Amino acid sequence: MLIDTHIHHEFGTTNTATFVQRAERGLTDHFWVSTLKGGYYPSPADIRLSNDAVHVLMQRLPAHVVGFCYVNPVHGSLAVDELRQRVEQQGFRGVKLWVATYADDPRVDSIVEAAAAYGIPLLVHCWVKVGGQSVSGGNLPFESTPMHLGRLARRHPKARFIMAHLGGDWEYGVRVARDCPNISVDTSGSLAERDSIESLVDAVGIERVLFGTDNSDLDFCLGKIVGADLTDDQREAILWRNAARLLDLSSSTR
Amino acid sequence: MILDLNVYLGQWPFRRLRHGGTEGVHRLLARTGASQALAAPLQGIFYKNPAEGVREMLDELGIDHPDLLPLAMVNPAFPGWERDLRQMAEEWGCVACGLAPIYHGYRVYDDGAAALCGALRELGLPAVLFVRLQDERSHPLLMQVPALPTDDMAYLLKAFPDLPIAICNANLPAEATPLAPLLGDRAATLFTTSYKSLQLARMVEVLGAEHLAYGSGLPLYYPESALLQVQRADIGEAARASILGGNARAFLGLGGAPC
Repeated sequence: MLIDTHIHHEFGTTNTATFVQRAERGLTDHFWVSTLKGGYYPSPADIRLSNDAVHVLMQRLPAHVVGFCYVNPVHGSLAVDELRQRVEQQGFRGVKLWVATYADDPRVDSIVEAAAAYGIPLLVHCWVKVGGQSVSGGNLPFESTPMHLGRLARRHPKARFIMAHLGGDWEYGVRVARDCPNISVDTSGSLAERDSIESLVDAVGIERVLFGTDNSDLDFCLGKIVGADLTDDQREAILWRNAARLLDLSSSTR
Repeated sequence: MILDLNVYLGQWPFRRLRHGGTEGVHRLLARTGASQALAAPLQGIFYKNPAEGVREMLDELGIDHPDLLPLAMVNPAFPGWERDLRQMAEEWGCVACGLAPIYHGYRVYDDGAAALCGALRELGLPAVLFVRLQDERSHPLLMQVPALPTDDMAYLLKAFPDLPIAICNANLPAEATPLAPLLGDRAATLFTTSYKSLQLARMVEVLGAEHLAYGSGLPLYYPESALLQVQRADIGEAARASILGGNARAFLGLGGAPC
């Protein structure tokens, strides 16, 4: 059993065939999917197109795809309306926040409150890229660090958050998640620094660790879990059991 | 028989390694089933005098280390490197020589780099070129080291066609694909699997299996992330065997046929 809690549709080389192939080969049982059209700062139309694409995929693979509703907090009440419509009419079961605003921007609050009322989690992009005259160029404008998410999570203790890809720089992400019990952490992404998974489990406990790819190679991402100093039971918890509990996936994806 | 072409020994200055040192590296190698590895001295990258770092690594290894093949490390901008290199090759048993221009502060176009490549050819030592040691986004704030530009890799491949070169930690396929046209008419050229997602089946098509070698980057990275990609890629068993060890053994002159 495998649940990929962080993957994007129509992003890079990932398309419908990717999901069909992984599902049919038994490589992934559930995908938690969002789509990110419109660049870093999407318009309302981009948001609708993104969520429409996810809805089509949900209909194509109803037993496998869980929709996460992409929203841009800058859109204010439109963003909340988009979330309500997708949850109530189309069965989306999570929220995706990317880089349009910092996670602790006050405009995020109404979205978090709506998600908390539905009992659905918010998957929040975070990264810490070395800044200033750095080799990476630093974070994008309004790109959250784990510390932004930490402030949001403390402001909304009843909401449930997922910190994407261990916060980017896991040494920061682990620290923030340790002190925020309403943050789970996914292990997705393009980095596989050894000791990151063990450090995360040591800090937050096994129950808040979720497997994901964020469109990186599935085997690359599995290697982090296979290679970490964990028991088989802990690996199973990360690969699917924690996610199944978070969204109560025991019966169906809807 | 798995040979890991990219393993680090010594101290990583920026965080504690749960499986650092000879004992930790052996433990991780055993988990992956690798029977041999090329061991790069981390101190040789960070010290002004790389030879001191190589000496420290050899001291740590002791004399009984048939599975860990020592990599020399030379900075051609540091005086006296010629004598150091000869000693590493002829007395210390190093089987290849590492070049880390991004950490040692020289350019591959410099006269020193040319002299080093010439010396390696004379000694019969292959070169291991480090494009980066870690992802640029995660560098320590006070030590941000840009990756080696693809143009620099291309220059080395073209300027020294008789020198076998392994390129470590390149971003496959973005940084390796432009170099594919340069590989046909030169000595052995390998790209290691030790950085990020590989799209390995595609890279076998673009580069050819004979130009890929398993390298894990342990203990800085989870070796299983690279290994699983090689073991499960749809590339055929002959190509897989070559990538997991055959190509690296031929590159290091240990016998075994490349793909």
